[in-house]
Parts: sequence; structure tokens; C-alpha cells
Amino acid sequence: MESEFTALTALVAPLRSDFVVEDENRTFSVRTEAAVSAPLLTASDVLGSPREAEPSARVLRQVRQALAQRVPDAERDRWYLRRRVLVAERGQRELSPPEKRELRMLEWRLDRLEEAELGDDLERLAAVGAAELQFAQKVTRIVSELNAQLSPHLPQARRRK
Amino acid sequence: MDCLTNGTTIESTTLTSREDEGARIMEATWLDSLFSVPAIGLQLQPQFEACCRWAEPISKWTDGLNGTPGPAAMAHNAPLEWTVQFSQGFSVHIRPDNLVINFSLPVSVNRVRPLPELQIPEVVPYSALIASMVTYLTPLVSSLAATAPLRVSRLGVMATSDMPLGDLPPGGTALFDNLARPFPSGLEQLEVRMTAPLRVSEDERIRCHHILKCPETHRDTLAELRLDWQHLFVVPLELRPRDVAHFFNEAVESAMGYFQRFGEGDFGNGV
Repeated sequence: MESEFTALTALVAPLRSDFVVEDENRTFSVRTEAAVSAPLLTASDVLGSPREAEPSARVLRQVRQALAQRVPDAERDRWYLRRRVLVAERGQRELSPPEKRELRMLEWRLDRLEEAELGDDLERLAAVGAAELQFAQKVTRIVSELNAQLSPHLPQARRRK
Repeated sequence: MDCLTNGTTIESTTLTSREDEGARIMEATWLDSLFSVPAIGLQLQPQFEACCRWAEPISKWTDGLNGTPGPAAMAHNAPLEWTVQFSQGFSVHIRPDNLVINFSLPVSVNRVRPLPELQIPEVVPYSALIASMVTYLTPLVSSLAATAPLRVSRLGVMATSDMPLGDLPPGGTALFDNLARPFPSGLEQLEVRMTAPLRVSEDERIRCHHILKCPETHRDTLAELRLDWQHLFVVPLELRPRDVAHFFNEAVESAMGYFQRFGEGDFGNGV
């Protein structure tokens, strides 16, 4: 134990550190002054458990946006150009299996890019769409309720119409 | 560009140099479009006599890294067990039978404001992370192999991605659709692990574990896709210092080549 302690002291000497020795299970702990101030989290910690879908998706979207911003413009242009070429080819002849796979992958990549960049806007648009749908449903319900209440008072012929 | 500061030199190699073997693997892959993290692991046949001399090369390695980006913390967990943790999120775990480098996004929580705020550091794509891992590992493993050739029984390269189910790459979607095909109403949940041999010979075997977990497919929950590419040696490979860089680069290139084919849905005549 003593020799291990001596060896370890020499090992960590260059690092300014807190040194902990636990006798019971003969384990050593060394933590430098520069120790990480924040805990290191796993992907699941960051993204949350599957049940916490909303916050996880939000963090993931932030990460995706950061990744999308790193794609160089030249690379994007290359992807768009190649997709255009393959789509044009598809109009002329049947693509080979590798070309089909390439096109699928290009479309998937470009979708991920656009989704990352437009993510927040799309979400806002979806929220506006949902609100409009809800409003339309309310209007339809009110109109049908009014019709139901008015129909006994309307002339027979008009009702038949 | 990468998680090492541009121009940072480790053992005379830089990530920015195209001549660096590590740079060869920094080509974009579909994994870069998602939040994907790599891991590299070596399964070793323990040689305790040599392992007793590992403290010196490990400490020299950490000292050598002590500029930017130096290790943030180091733990000696047991007499022959070390963990070196880097503030960028890399952790290296060293044991007589196992050597692993993995990555966790080092997220911090700003508690200064009444409502704690999650602070996400610079996000680095998969291909740059794995190139950095090779750059970290090469000098370490070379110096350990200098004490005695390492006997490697398995080398693993892993990619783990969390994503909404709809964001699975074309190959993942094809696989999911095939698994769901027998069920007329689709699937509510899925958790599978499929191990496919990729190359088998008398003295070595290459395989890949494909792990797909979709907790609740009808909700907007995150699916996890994990690809674990492994090269197994029937007779442990004796790894010498001069072979280490090539050994890692070749494995990472092969693994990423397979991951790319999987993502594209290139299963030959299969799916």
C-alpha cells in the first residue's frame, strides 16, 4: 500500500491536485485543480429520458442547428448540384441501385440541413396552422349549432332547400 | 473545425494537416448530420508484469498533453486502473484487459439566473470527434506498447445517435420497416440487437452489432441507433508502437465505411 501510494504521488506530482486515499477498499482518487466544473453528461442525460420528449427535442434541435452551421457552403452546393443531376437523370433513364441509394442519402442529408435551419420557423408555422384549424373547428360548430336552433323557425320550403 | 484547438500538436501530428493519417477519416458522413458520438475500445489479453510499468508512460502522455487541451482530471481508480478525463468531453479508461476512449457532451448548467440555463458547448460532428480520438489514443497506446507489445483480442469502433424516429437514415428506416412488416398495425415499441458477421477467416472475424431502440414509436420520442463495429483476433494481435497509428486509422476507416453503407441502405441483396 505504501509503495503504491509513493508511486502514485510521483505520478500526480506534476498536476496540482487533491489526493484522496481510502484505506478500506484500497482505492485512490486524484482530482486536479482544473477539474471540470460541470459534470460530464451522456447523450441520454442531455437529451433527457424518452418520456421527456419536448425538452429533449428542443436540445436536440439546438445541437442539430449547430451541426448544420458547420457544413461548408461548398459542400452544400455540391449536394444540391448532385441531387439535381441525379433527379434529371431519373427523368431520362432508370437509376442504378447505387445511384438510387445516393439520391436517397442526398435527400435525407438536405432534409436534415433544412430541418435544422428552419426548425424553429416550421414549429411556429405548425403552431399557427394548429391554431387556425382549432378556430375553423369552432366556427363550424357554432354555425351548426345556430342552424340547429334556427331550423324550427325557418319556413318549410326554405328548410327543405 | 475540431475539438482540439487548430494547430495543437500532439506527438508531432496535427489534425489540420492533410498528411496526418487522422485527417484521412475526417470526411463527412451521415453521422455528422445527427447528434452522434463515437467510442473506440481495445480488449487486451492482460499482461500484469507489463501493466505494472504503465504508470510512467501514462503520466508522460498526460504531461505531454498538458498544454491546450490538457486533461481536466485524472483518477487512479485501482492499482492498475486509470481514468483520464478531458474538459472537451473525452474520457480515457485504462485497465490491463481493456482500453476505451469515449465522449460525452460536457454540458453545464448556469445557475446564476433564477431559472437555470443549459449551456451547450461547441458541438463537434462525429467524423471530427473520432479523428480526435485517434489523435489522443495513438501516442498513448504506442507508449504502452513500448513497455511490451500489447496483445489485442478485439478492437471496437462505435457510433451512437439519438434522433426522432423519422430522422433515421435511409438504411435505418429500411431496417425498421422490414422489422415492422409482419405486423398489420405496425409497432408500438422496438428494441433489437442484431449482430452480423462482415468478414470471417480462420484467424480473424469482423462483425457489427446493430442496436435500435424506439421506446414509443407513435410519440415524438427519441430513438437510439448504435452501431458497434468489431474486429476480433482469434490469436491476439501483437501490437507494436510503430504499427499503432496505422492500426487505428485502418480500423476507423473500415468501420466508418461500413457505417456509411448501413446508412445508405447498401445491404447487398438484403434489405
